[in-house]
Amino acid sequence: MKAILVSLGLFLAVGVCYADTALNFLKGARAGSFEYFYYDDKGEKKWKLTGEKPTFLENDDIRIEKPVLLLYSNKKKKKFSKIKADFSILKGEQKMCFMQGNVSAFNIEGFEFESAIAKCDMNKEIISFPKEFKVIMNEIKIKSNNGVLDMNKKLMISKGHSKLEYIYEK
Amino acid sequence: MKNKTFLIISILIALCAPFLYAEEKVKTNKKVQIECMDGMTIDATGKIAVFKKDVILKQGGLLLKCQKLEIYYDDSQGKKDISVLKGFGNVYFDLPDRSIKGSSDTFVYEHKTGKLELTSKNVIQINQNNQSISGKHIVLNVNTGDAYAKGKVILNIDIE
Repeated sequence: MKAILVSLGLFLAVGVCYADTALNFLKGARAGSFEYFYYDDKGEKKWKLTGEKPTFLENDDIRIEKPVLLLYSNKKKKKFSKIKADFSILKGEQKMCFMQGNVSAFNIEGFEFESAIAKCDMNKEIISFPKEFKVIMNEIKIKSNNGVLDMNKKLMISKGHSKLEYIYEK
Repeated sequence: MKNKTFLIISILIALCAPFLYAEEKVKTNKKVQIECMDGMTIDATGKIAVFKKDVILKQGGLLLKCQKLEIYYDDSQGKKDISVLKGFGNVYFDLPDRSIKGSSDTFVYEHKTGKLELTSKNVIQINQNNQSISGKHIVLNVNTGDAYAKGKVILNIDIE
């Protein structure tokens, strides 16, 4: 009788473990792509944020692993920027997107911005580069520090030492 | 025999022709370097970048210094190229290859043609060896070394 009860107990324990793994697997499989919309005060859909392999955390923060993020302004129906980052967290309340790793390609009117760290403020529609960043436009390369990119005005302002290099054929 | 020699020479010339033509088309890479101490602004819509404070521009032998530099791009052929550079405040220029140096209030530099236009409220003086030209508006070609001044011009030549 004891042996039967022990066997039954073991069977149930193994079953629970398998069920948990299966649920996690399903959760992971569901998280193949990610889409986030930001609405303004009037309820108008303003920003769309998409990524790959997202994992939804308990506190409603959103983590996106190996993402390709695309930011759109639906108001102007124009894609402002394309961001690649190794790691990203979007806090729903603050509408802040913090990117760290290889934040490698913002593209505004042919200008590409590269940095190891960037903060995107969805409310103000600005992207901050608190450390060194690069701007590339064909053969024109700019290195600067501590810059803020206004996506609406398409204006970038930086502080401190800046350097431009332009290589051309003659 | 003469015909054979002529034929061989003709073939050799014909074979060398593409290489001679290719050599004529070889282009070299040149570099413009700009540095500043107090940040910069890029206006993606206006095709302009502004560098501020202690700006230094280097292009080959040309050295330009100023306090504010505006860079204008030309993307008419779908490719962004620097077209015009405008400098303001304490402008200093040095062209050691041609032994020319001087200072002014502002400059406008056309990158493609090498035309450097200098203007100043006070008199600009550019020096070359033992000669100097003074005026309020001087145009200098950094590629050829040719210069001309507008308005009241003073030419000084030291004769030893």
